[in-house]
Amino acid sequence: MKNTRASERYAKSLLTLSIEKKILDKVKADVDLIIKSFDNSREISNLYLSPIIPINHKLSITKKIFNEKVNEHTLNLLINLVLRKRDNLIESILHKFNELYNVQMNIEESLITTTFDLDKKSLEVVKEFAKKITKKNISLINSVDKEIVGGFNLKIGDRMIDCTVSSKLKSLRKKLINN
Amino acid sequence: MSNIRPDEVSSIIRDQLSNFKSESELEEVGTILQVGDGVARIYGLSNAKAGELLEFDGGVKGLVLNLEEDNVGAVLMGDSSNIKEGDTVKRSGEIASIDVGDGVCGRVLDTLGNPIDGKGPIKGKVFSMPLERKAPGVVYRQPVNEPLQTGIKAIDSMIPIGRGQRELIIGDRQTGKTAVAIDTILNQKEFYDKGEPVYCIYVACGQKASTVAQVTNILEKNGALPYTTVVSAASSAPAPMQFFAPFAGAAIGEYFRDTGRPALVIFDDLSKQAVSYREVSLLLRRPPGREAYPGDVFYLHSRLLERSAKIINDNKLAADMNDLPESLKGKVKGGGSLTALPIIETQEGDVSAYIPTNVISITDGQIFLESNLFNSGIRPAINVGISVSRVGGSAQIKSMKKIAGTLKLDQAQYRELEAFAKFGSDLDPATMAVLDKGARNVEILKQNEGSPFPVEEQVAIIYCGSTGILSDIPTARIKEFEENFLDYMRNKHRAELDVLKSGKLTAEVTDIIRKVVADLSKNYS
Repeated sequence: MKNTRASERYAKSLLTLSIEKKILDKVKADVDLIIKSFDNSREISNLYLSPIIPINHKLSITKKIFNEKVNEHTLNLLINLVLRKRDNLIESILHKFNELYNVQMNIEESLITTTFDLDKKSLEVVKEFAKKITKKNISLINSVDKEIVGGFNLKIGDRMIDCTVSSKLKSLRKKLINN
Repeated sequence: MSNIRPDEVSSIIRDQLSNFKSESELEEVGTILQVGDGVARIYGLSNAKAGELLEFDGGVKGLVLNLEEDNVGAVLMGDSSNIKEGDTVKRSGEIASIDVGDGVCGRVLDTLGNPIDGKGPIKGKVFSMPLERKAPGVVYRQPVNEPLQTGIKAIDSMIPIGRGQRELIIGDRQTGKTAVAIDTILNQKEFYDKGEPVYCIYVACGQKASTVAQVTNILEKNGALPYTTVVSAASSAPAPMQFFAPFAGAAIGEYFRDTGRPALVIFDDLSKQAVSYREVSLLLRRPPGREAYPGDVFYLHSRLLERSAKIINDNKLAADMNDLPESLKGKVKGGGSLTALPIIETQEGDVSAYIPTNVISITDGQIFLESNLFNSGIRPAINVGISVSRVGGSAQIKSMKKIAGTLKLDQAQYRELEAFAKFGSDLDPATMAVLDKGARNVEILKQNEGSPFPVEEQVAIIYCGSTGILSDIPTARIKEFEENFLDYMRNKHRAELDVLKSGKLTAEVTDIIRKVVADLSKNYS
């Protein structure tokens, strides 16, 4: 979350450009792909964070990795960032882009944490429920965490419904200590 | 612990479990972006209000102070070592408040109202009072008209304090500022014994924990604890706890004030509070101003001190008071008061620093304590010349007003001539008389720590000094005479003292005082 102001500027221009050229869906897919590759490979993120690697090396690597795989505008953004030595911001720009994209498309991100993978049907139910609360489109992610023991924890934007057994146990413990 | 039966324990636990609610509500949460130095930046919480209480993962409380474009700045009211980046923070939806009831008397509390004296939870009914609350409006106030007796001769005679007043105690370190405040608390015992207690609150803000323990000890020893509450935010407490401590004290005072009772709150001391506020403000990246204090440090003190007031003596009007907390509705009575005695520590007597000038201009007068007076043996070391009370005069009892009117003038003249008298010894008799009287008055106004005088005794002895009937007694033996005189008056002339107490200064009483002085002074020449 560093230098959010600069990242916001870049993210905003990428968004408005893609809307103008009507390639928003493509760019969004690119952004998701790049974020995924950053998450999967430490080397890529280290590459851009390092100020020691010469710019022309970075450029050729960038082109080799992402050419053909992403849209030319997305690639231009990456090249531009490398040339302007703003490549350390790439990750935060992409996250910011996702944020702005969600606002643009009226999407609220939500996360449900359970002890096992939920089936499609129950995910739909949760989605409907979240939709009712926020009156927005919902993109739902299911994460599995054995630590919560049981129940579920649903986060919608900055609201949360905590029905996990672990938090119940915690509050029970607190209550017993206080008495 | 040997006599606990296991079946008893399990039945208690079963009880607890059966009553345990397992509802879940929609909560609003945020994630911590950054935490350190007792300050956290939180992403999310888009609906949080300024001043709202937050709850962190480990149960630590926090307070929203900054609302920014994409994050919320909050201070932690507790140990920050278990709080990490990425933790969730819950909104509580309530404003920071403290539980107050009649049970807080005799207790030592922290800023959030938790007892820290190991005597268990606060007994009796408690009401939730917000830490930040608007001061009563103009309609709900009345002018100061009742005296708050400090039991200190120099103050009650020349710098009188009224109930509902804000009187600053200012001076260098080691000049007896706290002692003045503590003596004032001790003097309220008289009213407590009479059944009309003045509830006292001593707020220790940034003090050494040992000092707080010492003060509590003094109060307990002198029987002053039953009507006193100590709010302690020692210097080891986090900075936000320190700068909110006076607000907690004011909230407790307001409970008594709004239920129609007189209260006295002592803020010891506001310069340290300003320092902790500066710390928090700088950490929250608010722009620094003069002496690196933030721009709103004046407002910090003015809104705090504005809460001390004398409430109008009309139950119906008082019940409509602005900003009443929900819990207190229907319980409000008129006629209560909250007197504030803020303390400011100056550096090398510099009263033109930022915080001292601010607080001097906010309060209704100040008591100056000076280290050179203190060192020359004049204790309490009050500089009468520059100490003032802007509203207290109307609250003085009549008898005191009559005799004290000349006292302040006499002392001013004495100080002027004293400087001259050092140059030569050839002085005319009139000057000598003024000097003699002045020196004796200085002796009379000296007073030991922890020995407040009831107002009638003060009137009696100051009457002797200001009329000049003590000229036969050597200055060095004035203290001795004072003791004997007051002893004699207490034992033989209780009725006359009671007349003085009721505010009258009749010829019969003054005749008796003159006679007693004449009789006693024979032993001293």
